[in-house]
Amino acid sequence: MRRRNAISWIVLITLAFFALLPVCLLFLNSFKTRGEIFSNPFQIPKHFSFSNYVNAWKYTDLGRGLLNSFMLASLSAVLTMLIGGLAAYALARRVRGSSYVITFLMFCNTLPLFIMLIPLFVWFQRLGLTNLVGVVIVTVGLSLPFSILLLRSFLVTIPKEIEEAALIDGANNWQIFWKIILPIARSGFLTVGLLNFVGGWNAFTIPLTFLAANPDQQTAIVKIYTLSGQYTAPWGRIFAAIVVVSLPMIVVFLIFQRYFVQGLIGGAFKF
Amino acid sequence: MKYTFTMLIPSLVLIGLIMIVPSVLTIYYAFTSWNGFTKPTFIGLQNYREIFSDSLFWKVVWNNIKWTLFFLTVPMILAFIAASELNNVPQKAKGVFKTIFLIPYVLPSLAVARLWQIVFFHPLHGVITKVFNHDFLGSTSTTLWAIAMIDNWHWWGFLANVFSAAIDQIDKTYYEIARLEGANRWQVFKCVTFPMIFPTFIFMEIMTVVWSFLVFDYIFIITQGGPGRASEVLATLTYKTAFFYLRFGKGSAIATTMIMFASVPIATYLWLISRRGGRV
Amino acid sequence: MSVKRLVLVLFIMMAFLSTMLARELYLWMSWAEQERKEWALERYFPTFEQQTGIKVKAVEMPGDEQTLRTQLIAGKGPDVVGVAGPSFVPLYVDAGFLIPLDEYAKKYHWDELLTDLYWKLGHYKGKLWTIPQEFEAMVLFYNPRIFKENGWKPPRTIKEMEELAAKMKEKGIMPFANGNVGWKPAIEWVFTAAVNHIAGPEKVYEALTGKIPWTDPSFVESVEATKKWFQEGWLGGGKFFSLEIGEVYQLLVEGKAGMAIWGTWAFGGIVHHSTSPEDWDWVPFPSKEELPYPIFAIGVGSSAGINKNAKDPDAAAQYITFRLREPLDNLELFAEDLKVNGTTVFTPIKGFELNDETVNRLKELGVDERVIKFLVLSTEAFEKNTYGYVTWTFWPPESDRYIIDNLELVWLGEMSSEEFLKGLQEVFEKEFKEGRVMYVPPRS
Repeated sequence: MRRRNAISWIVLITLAFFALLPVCLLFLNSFKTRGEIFSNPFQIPKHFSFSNYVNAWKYTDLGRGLLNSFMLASLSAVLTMLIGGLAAYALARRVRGSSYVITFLMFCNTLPLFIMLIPLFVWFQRLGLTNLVGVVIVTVGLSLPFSILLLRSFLVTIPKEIEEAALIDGANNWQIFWKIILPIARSGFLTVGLLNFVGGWNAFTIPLTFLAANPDQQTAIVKIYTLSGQYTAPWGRIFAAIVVVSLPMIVVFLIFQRYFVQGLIGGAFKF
Repeated sequence: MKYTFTMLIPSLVLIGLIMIVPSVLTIYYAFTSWNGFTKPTFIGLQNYREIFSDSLFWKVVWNNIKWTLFFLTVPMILAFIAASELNNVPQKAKGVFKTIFLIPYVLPSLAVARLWQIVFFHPLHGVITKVFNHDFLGSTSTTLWAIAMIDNWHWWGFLANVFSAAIDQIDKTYYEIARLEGANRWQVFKCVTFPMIFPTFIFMEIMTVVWSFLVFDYIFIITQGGPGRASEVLATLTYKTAFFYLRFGKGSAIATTMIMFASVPIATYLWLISRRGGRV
Repeated sequence: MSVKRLVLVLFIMMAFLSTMLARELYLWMSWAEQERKEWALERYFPTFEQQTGIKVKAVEMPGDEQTLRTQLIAGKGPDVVGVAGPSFVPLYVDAGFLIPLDEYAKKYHWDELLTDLYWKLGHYKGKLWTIPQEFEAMVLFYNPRIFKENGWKPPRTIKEMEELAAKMKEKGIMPFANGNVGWKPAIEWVFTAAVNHIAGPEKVYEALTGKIPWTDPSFVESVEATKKWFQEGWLGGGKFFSLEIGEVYQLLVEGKAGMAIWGTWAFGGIVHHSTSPEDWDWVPFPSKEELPYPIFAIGVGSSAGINKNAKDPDAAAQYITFRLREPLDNLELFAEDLKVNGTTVFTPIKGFELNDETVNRLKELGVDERVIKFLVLSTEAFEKNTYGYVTWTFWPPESDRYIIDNLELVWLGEMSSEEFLKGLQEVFEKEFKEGRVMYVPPRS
């Protein structure tokens, strides 16, 4: 028994090393100058200089970028949960036409992003929505298919009896949804919410295209991209910016890891 | 009990507007010749004739297939190993490991790509380059696999968590029985773990195939399909055809072939479900 | 109302109106280094504002053409549009992104300022649409210290250059600091250099004007030469496809590389790595023995047009004039500009002569001698007609793109030089028929 466990530990620690080492290197390299990164990418920097961080923050207005990222991520997460949650609930309870809708949603998953990019952009531009609001709308629209399917699979496992009891007690559909379903499927919703939050935070293509002319509204990731000049890129600064932008994600993760990890399967992928 | 269809309407409307309408427009463009500036002109199936008769196109499809084969195996194996071993450690440690594995997934693709490109695969100073004395990204035979490895580092942790959560649902008594009967590691996996998480596994494999035909980010950021066409995939080909060659019509047509290829596994999956009465 | 009161009211109204009418110019900028951005914000734009009263709103944007085009399609974009090269002008004009500049040219006397070549380059279908900027040429950079240590002299012929490359490789020095990661078009620099200096500008001229095909043997020879440079392991030390464009400056300056096939835009980049004359210098790119020397394959970095949706087109025109006249009106500013940004800020204009007096003045103002050398030599090349043509300026866009995408296949042995050139000829012919080839200045 002990030998078996020992092997498990060794394997897991090796894998953890594999996962973490590059991240540590990213962190270490963010303190180096450009020349040092190239000459010694693997070693501890000779002097820990925060100049990369200061420069990254100042010159790309990273603070505002983070604020925008946060708004995009949280708004799209909340909206997707609400709008998608309703739909998922209806599908879980096999409303008429469910199988068609499910097939439709699965098909939507196959559509590549930039097949929609230009028409969307031109159209939103005409509506005056090439701003953060427009990006939120598009992000929600794009996240809905996968989120609805995932949520549905969580909701499918809730026994009908609970709702029937509530109905007998005189509750209507919406009350059932809010007061009964939501609390029970809380971890499932949180999972989907977190997935969408991360997706919104790391989103690149849509914010880049839509917010190109609106640097005040650009998200942090877009700002990092613009750090790369045409020929040269300040790698130290980029790494520093990346650390700053990734850190909130990791923190959010560590706090909610219970939900994210547990909920991913829960009753998922049961169709 | 009435579950109103109205609950579905907001979602369907939004999806219809954001995804379907633009896609239909793009499908229309696939039958035109359009340089992205002036008005498109209708040319019927000509784009498709050009695409399917171009040997480059099929070479690119082969790259997508290679990518698919990689992702159907390597990350899966890593994830399975991790998930199985996670079973054998106490709960708290399990949580810590799971979180660690998930961290690469949280990083944005731009960050992951650049990090590996500079620190590990750099032709002169990269760690991997020095250890193996070979420029992986710069040589045509290995570049696709190098990029796949980078994406894999980003992805396998997510898979591991998915499989681990699935394993968590397996009744522990099965394992005890197996142990009592003296089964070794591999037998436990083969007879208990794998069959019980088969639905999850098959779903992820299907989605892997779908996503493999859509893959874009890492390849575009790191090599843009080069050197030569060694790492070119359908998505980068679409992008280049449309934005660099200014042939949006043809680019749209290539994009539609992506949908065609990606639909095959989906259709297979749905067929499988209906065959096994929803028990996949 | 008494007269006094009336005057007061009028005065207030006018003051109010003038603040409302404070003119504004909306620009997109893409700075390669921090120093360039700071200088622009602290010196360049304020000088412009001072002299014209127009306020500049400069926004830092990714410099790629796709971002610009996406915005233009949607009716947005900067007031002054940086068209990626003359070859894009027909596309932009046909799509209706730009306004004709003829009236501004008259108003601000651009016809008197621009040299013949630049004047004609901006024309399409009989009207003026852009003002070409960012003058640049292909040259050969090298590291003087390495050369001195080994007793080498900068090459004047292709043969000498190739011999040097072989020697460098033996010594473990990277012959050419070139790579295309992060900027795929970097491969066309090599093509440009080869075609102009092996086949020669006369041949290039004839091909660009449709008189001879690209499959001409002289071009085959040029392409084969580039293939040799790659396959011998000279370009990027064999790591051309994985070297990042930004680090090649460092490689040359440190002496890890001996030479480099760059254009003069590199002045702006390399000074941020080293200003010591020991670390880098340049010579005109070597030519084949039979061809004249020196030849400068010249080109235009980008061209300035005015956005159809610009709120104040005249302000944009004033900005363009300001840029053009910088050497004439603001020599100190021009000197600083040269120091920070390199020679791409220079557009050859009539009335600005690089005589001894100006040269000395520039030296006093601290402009690098190597930069001044280029300004002088290239002007001479213009006068003596020993200039060539770079691909990104004089080739039509699809042909240009064809070269970028397919030359590497030749290098990797997946395509023969003949096939490559045949493909180029097909694409080129099509564009030529569509009238997409811009003005190609005749030899005299």
